Amino acid sequence: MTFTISLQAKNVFFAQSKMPAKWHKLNNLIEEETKTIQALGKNLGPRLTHRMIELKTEKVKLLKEWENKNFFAAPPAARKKLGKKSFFKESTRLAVKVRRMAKKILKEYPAYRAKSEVYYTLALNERDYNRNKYTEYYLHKSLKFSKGNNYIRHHAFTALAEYYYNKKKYNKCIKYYNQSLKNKNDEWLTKHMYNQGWCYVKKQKYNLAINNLKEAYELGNQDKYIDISNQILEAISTFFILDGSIMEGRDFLVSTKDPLPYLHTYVKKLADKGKFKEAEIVTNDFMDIANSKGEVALISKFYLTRFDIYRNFKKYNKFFSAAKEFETLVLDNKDVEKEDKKKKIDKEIVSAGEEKIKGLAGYQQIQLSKKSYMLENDKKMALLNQIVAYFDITSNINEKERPKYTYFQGETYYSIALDSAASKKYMSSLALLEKSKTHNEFKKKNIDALLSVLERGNLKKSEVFPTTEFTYKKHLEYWPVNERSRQIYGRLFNLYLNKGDTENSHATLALYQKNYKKDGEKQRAMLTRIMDLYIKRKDTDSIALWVGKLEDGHLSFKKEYIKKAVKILGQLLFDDLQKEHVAKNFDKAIEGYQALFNNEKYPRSIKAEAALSTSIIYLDKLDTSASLEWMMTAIPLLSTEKFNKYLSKIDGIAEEYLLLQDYKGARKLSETMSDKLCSGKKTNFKDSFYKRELTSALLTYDFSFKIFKRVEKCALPAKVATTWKKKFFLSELNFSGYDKFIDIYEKYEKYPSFKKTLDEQVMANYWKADHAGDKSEKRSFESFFKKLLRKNKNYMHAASIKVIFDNEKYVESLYDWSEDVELPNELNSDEQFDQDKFNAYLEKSLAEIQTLTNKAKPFLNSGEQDIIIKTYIALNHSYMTLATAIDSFTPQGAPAEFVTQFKGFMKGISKNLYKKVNSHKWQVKKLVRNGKINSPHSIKLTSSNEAISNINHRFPASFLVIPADQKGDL
Amino acid sequence: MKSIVLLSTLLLTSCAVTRIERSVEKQNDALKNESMYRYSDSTKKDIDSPWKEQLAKCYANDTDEGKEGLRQLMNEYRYSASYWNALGTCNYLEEDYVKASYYFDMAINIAKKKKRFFSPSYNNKALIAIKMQHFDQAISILEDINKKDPGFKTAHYNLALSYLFIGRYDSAISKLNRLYRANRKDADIVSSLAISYLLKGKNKTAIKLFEELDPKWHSRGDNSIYYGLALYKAGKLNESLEVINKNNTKGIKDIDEMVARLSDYVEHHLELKEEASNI
Repeated sequence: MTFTISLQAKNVFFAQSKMPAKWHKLNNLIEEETKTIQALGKNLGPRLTHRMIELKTEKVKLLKEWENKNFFAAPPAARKKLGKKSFFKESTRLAVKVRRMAKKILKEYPAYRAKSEVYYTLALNERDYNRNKYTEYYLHKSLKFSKGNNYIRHHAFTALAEYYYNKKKYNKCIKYYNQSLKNKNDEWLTKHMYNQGWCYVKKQKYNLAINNLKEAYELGNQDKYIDISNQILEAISTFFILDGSIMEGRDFLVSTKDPLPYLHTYVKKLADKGKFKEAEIVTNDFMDIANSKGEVALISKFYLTRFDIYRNFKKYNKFFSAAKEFETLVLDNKDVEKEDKKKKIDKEIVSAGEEKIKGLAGYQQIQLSKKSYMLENDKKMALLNQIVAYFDITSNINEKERPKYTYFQGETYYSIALDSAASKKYMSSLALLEKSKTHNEFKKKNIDALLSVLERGNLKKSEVFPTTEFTYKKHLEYWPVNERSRQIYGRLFNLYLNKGDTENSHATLALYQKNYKKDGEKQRAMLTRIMDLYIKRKDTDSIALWVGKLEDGHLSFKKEYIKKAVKILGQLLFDDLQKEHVAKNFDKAIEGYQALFNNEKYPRSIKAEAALSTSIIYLDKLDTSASLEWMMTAIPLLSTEKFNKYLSKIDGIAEEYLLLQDYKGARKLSETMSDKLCSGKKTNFKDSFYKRELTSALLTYDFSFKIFKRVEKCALPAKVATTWKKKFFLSELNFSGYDKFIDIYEKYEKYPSFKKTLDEQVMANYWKADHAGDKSEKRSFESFFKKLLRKNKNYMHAASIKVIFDNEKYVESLYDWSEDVELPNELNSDEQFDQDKFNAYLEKSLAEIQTLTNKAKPFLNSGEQDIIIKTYIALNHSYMTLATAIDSFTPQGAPAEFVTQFKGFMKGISKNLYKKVNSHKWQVKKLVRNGKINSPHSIKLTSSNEAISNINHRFPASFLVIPADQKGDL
Repeated sequence: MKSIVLLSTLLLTSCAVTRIERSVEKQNDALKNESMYRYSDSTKKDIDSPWKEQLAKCYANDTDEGKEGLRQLMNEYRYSASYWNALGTCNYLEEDYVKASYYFDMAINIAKKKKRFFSPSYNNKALIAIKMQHFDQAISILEDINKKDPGFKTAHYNLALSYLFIGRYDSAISKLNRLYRANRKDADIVSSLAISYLLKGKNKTAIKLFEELDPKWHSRGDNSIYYGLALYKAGKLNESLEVINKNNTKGIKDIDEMVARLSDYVEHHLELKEEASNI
């Protein structure tokens, strides 16, 4: 059957604590016996009642155990709310019941022989479950009625001794223990002796106390007694100290079976009593024994005590030695197996030792910091070295904490302004932290410390840079985005830049940019500084590289800055080359510019400038072909802005090409520029290039009008086009020769504005061909005339053409007539002269020539000089033929007198004919003299040398004219 | 495409340039201060300017070298009217009249900017007009030069030749006589004057002037024609034929044809004369 009690208070239920099996077994036994006795009825006799009291007293004990457990198991709030008493109600109730039952027996059975036992039960009940008020009374009552019952007397003596001890009545206590100790059969004899020893101590009878404990310790070796040697040895060490027999105590403890724990305690107590010397002697004993036994674990623990003692007694050198020994001990045994308890040093011990060493080191650190100014340097340094060494020890025994202790070392150095050493320690600490993932807070501490070192400015000059670099880099590495980092980006950047380390400056800037995209202005300022340095160094490659990036939008630099940078780059790159150029070292300058052009590092703008400069140098070398090639290379590379900037220069270069007789070059460049400017508003340049393009075309005899298509496309002035079309037209017309005229006419006739000029030229060119005696061309013109007339009957020169054709026929008829005007054969024969026939011939001829002469009138009045001349020439030929024929005729077979008369008469006729001829010549001469006739044909009439007409004379003026080339200094 | 073919034909034709002998000794060169055209080798030694050296090359028929030489000098002479006139002249001599005209205009404009009248370039523009058979235009230009720069002899000479071409002998004689009076040893002036008289009908004067010429000039194409004509007119058929046959100017179509026709003509009359004398 299980004994259970529910504890209920104000609806709060607690789980019942589980009790051990032994408790239950005992409880069951009590329950069973109680039931058995109860089964005997209610009116029990004193012996059974006494038994019931005994059982219930045992039950109270069990209940108390159970309640106690429940009390401690209950939540604190419940304990507080319910109060302690409520937890112990059952046992209290039962204890009261027991007291009543016991009192009832004593009252009802005054002669009960086991009365002393009942009183003893009441005494214990009073002591243990009541207010201990009547304990002494009941115990004395128990003694009073215990005669013959040594058992109960012994327990009563012992209980009274304990009672008086507790009541600090040590003499009574000693007295009753003396009674109790007589019983050598009590297994607790050792305990009672121990307790009496304490009474002696209270009465300052240390020697008796020591003897009591020594005896008890010895008795404890016997099996019949309870061995309380632990308590004895713990207490006796105190007693020896109190007695002043410290060495005796040391000897006693050393002689014990397991002296080390008690020696340890003894040392502690000695130290507590200020007996350092004695403690140190015992310490040595401890160490000797422990070392001889290989008690590593105990030694390690003992060091903790030693650390305390040394620190308390300010024995710092001993502390340091102990610390070193402790370190050695820990390190030597760190790999000992867990099972080897003798040698295995508890982690807690190591940790405690570490704490104690750290504690002293920390204390000394403060002392060092506070009093360093008072200490002599040697002492100061010794102290410093010791502190640093302590942190080495702590680091060695707790490797995980090394970063922290290294930091502490740094702090130690820092405290006395040894910043160089401090910074090294901080850096070492950070290096260690790199490997461990813990102690992140020390990253910050180290960095803060390093920043303080840097701020204080005590570092050697040679250390400043590496320390600063390290600090800043680590800061940025650990906290790339952090308000302080934000400042440090700039500082690290400056650090590198001041050293001229552009590579790291860039790297820092890149990192800054990556983490703080919004700090563009600051970053631009930084890059500007790098660029300034490049400029100072004349590092054109780097400038070029970065200009390229800026042009690609890096850091969103303003266009003005990029322009400026490009300009500077250009100046740097071009400066020397320009000097070579100015010095007319053209080849060297070209070589330089071409190298720039071919260098992939340089941005497009530089390449453009290089190509442009190369072009200009070639121009200075008068090599327009190469100049053009480079110009054509430069133009596509020029930015819009540069293109506009160089417009004037390019315009000038194109003009130079023209001046240097490179017409094709001038045209190509101008054409390219015209195209590029086509849709733009650079009107002046557009016109200029266009005009040069036209000029070049003209000078290379390209009279095609295709070139004018750009007028509409590029919004060029139509007036310019019109003017130049006319120039093209007139040039082709004037410089192509009359033999090409018909082609020219057919080319241009579709343009109304040229038609009039063309038609005016039609006749002139026809006559030029005529003047040149070029019959073939003349025929071509005549065919052309017919074509013109077929196309347009009202053609403006239709009348003139008609005159030409009519005149040709007329002139031809005159020459034909001249050929036919010879005398008839019968007149020229040797036959008899037939005057009638001659007269008929003469009349007919004269009539015919008159008729022909009359037909000349329209031609002579035509106003066309060559028609007039041709008419006169032909007429004169006819007149001269007739006159010669008449003159040279001699009648045959006629009398001489007749012949003379006849010839004289004929002379008169021919004279008139000659007069006519001369009259014609005179007419022409007059016209020539007056400038009315300017025809080379006139010579045929104006010259008296008939041979001139016969050789088809044409004065070779064009071969004889002389060009002029000088006129003063113009 | 048609225009390109036309152009190339023109240029090919232009390359065939033939000139008659013109060089005269310095003391006999009435125009030496205006034109290097007729400089003798000894006169060329007096050339005192780089651009003139290059122009001399053009006159010596080496126009490519002359033009290139001038090109090299451009930067030095870019503001010199004479320079551009020289370049125009080289092109003129190559019968590239478009370019020649362009450069003559440049020279004229440079002079205009200096408020000067640059007669040489006007003269040369007139020469282009003559080459292109635009005699009216040429005469107009040359007469204008005469008005504005009466002392510029070359224009007088060229105007006289232009007059001769159109039959205005009196005007030509007038111009040439003035030049002749200034220098009676200038072969071109003397022969031109002789031709003028010949064509006007004053044969004796013509012969007299031809005879004034160093005989070496009689063999030049134009002189052999006109002196031959004059001798023919004078009835000196044999001398005429002899002069005609001495012609050493070959390759100029007009002159070649005239020489051939004249030679035939005189030979024919010589034959007739011989036949007549035989009768």
